Amino acid sequence: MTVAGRRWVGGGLEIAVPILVLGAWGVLSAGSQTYYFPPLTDILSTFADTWLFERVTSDALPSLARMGAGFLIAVVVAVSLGLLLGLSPRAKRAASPIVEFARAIPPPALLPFAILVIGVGNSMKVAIIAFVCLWPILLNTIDGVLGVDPTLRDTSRVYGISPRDRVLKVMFPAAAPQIFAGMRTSLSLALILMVISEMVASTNGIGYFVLQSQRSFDIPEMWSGILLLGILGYALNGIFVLIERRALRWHRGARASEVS
Amino acid sequence: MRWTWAAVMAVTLACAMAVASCGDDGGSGGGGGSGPRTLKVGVIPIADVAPLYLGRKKGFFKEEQLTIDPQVAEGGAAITPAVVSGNFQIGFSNTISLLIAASKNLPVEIISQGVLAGKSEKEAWADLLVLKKGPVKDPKDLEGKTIAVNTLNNVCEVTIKASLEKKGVDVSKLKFSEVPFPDMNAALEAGRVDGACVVEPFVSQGKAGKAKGIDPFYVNTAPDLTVATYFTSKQYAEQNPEVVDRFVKAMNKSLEYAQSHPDEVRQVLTEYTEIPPDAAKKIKLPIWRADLNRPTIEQAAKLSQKYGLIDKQPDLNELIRTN
Amino acid sequence: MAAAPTAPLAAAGRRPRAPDWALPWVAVAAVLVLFEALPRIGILPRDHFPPASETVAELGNQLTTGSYWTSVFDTLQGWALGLVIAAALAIPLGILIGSAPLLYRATRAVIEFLRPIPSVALIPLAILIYGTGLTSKVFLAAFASFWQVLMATLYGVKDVDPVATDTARSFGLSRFQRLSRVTLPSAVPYLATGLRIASAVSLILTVTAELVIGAPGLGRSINLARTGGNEELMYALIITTGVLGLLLNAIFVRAERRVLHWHPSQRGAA
Repeated sequence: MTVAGRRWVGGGLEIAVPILVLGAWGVLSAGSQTYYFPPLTDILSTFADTWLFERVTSDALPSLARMGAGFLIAVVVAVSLGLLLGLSPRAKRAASPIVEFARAIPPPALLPFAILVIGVGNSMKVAIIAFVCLWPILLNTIDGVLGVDPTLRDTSRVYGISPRDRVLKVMFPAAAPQIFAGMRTSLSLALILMVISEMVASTNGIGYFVLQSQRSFDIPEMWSGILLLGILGYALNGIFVLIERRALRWHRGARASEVS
Repeated sequence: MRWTWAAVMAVTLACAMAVASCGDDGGSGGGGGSGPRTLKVGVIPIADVAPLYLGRKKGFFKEEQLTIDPQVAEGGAAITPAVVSGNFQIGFSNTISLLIAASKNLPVEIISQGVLAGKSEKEAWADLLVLKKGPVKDPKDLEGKTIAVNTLNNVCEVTIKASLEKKGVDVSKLKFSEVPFPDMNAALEAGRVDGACVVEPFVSQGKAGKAKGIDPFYVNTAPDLTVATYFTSKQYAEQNPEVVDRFVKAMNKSLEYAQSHPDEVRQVLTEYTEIPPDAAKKIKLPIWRADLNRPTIEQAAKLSQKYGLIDKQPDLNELIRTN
Repeated sequence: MAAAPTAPLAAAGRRPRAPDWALPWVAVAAVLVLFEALPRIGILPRDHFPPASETVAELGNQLTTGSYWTSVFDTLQGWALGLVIAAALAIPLGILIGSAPLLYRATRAVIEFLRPIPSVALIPLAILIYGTGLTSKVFLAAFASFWQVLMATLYGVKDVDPVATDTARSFGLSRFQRLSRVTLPSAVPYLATGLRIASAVSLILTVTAELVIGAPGLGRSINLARTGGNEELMYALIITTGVLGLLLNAIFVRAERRVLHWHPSQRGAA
């Protein structure tokens, strides 16, 4: 198949397969009597009523804002810390067990401590999101730095490049692909954390809406919220990939060729 | 070659969706209901369900040839789906949640009393706490302030509004924040909330600390309010009426026994919860009786509609099991 | 100073440094001291946050009780099953999709859509279909870990150096051989990290499911301690969860080191 032909087929598949899946879901759920699995048509109409555009400003935007803030804080802290720990094996050894310990604590178990220390408002939610999103980025940054070709490191030192430039202009770009992989993981975690953080002391938000709907047995509304979360995840990921592609376009340019 | 794979993927995904959507056949079939049965009962690890454990301990359920298998969950959100799908046969839930469920046509049926509010402030085991040295001196001061409830749009919110309205408070000016019971005292002390609707063991904990109670809201809504009940799914009740009868009989016996044997209750509390033994000795025990006290449920239904939790009154004859 | 990645220089006149092995212990001790002091000073409310010594004492207490170890076992069981199922499904799928560009385009939308659905939101569904026991908890853990392993495998397979694959092709290696000798080894580091993260995710989801659904395990015990107002026990159990995560991670790191001994990330560094 020619390259152009493949691109057409690829594009076609990309549109066709999700539609097929949706169609299958719609058909299978059409006559559903089960309370917790309403017909797809019900879910879609509830979705239209709720999210286009009634609750966007009241719930979707605050959630996204908190998520964004938490994610950005996580990125900044994790990349800085990761570069540091990746470069200094001693610091890494010291911090390693604490990092691994902290990240194993399940987020709902963090909530009481967070309420105690930070309170019940937006800052608590942002803090929880940031805290949990930190770890994948941190680990990936460390791994990325460690995985930098030692020849690259030694060469840059031999050439007398200053330590600051070595870190910023050699190590960081070399570790960038893996850092971005970590960021991608954290992005999906951020969405999950957004929901968990809204489990407590919330008055608005998408996660809050899904949970309250669950509690009030508004099942189509609950599903509409879940649908929205999926759509948001897809959209955010798409945007992230675009950013990643631009940022990494120098990196083994050949790889970015036909896929992704 | 590539087409085949793509087709396989699509079909697999469709099948997965299909399987997921037909998971509802978890019902426990079985005939009318004589003979020994094991019942999974969804409960929350709080003092309210002590009669269930105590009755099991004393053999009341065994007398009815029932084995009780308690399933501890965090809240109604986990219990109700399990009962509706048949994974649990019976569940424990507060009345308001069940009223909301019924108004949305969820097939649930109340079968037995769970816990009552108490007849007077003396018997009350739930209270609205504020800081002893705080700015809130009486309920009217709460207008414009934030009260912590463990679940929004549920029993605490409805009963607090009802009882405060009786005291002349403008309840539309109240703000509510959802905070789990265990975190309420800390939130109150740190000034994150101005009031907290608390139940045991946190009432005693709070009052021993920096808080005082200003409104036992369950009692003040309606004396002897039926705060929570045991319920089952309509399907289970229809298919196993005798089993349900047997459960209710044993449960009623357990409720009365628990009410008259508080020391044994305090003992069993330490067995199924992690309330420390010295706290278990000091907390105010809930009130139990075999009587469902239907008028208070009707009142709760009206209040729920008044405060916007439900749009229409559920049919209480459908919701409450009558034999 | 950016340290050299090799053993410390024993230059004359340098200050004595703490030996490498002691470092983590020093850090942990520092944290313990911090959490002992904070409640005692009053920065953290003493009534609601017990000092580290009390929590550790309660933990010591718990170590002698059977129920504690039962909880630990239940949690580990859920973690293991969740991870294994996730990996068993995700690795082959990842290799498949990663090496067939058309397949990737076909499934991309579905993957990117399903992936971000928070397992927390699926809890009532899990309860409906699988009940409130081990199966539910394994389902949630596996669902969340699956995506980690899938994305790691995908990334790994796609990130292979095209020069290497082209060279292999020009040497006449078959598709399968290219896959097993060039692509997979190049993908393994990504996969290793992915599995390690997936293990952590599986543990977190297992405990979360136990917390919310009430499946037996550490999460449920934490919930019981919480609702009983027993903070020492609650924090002791939370520490247990953290330590569990730590140990499991250490196992993965060891395994990674052995399997990937040839890879630059393993050279020299701690």
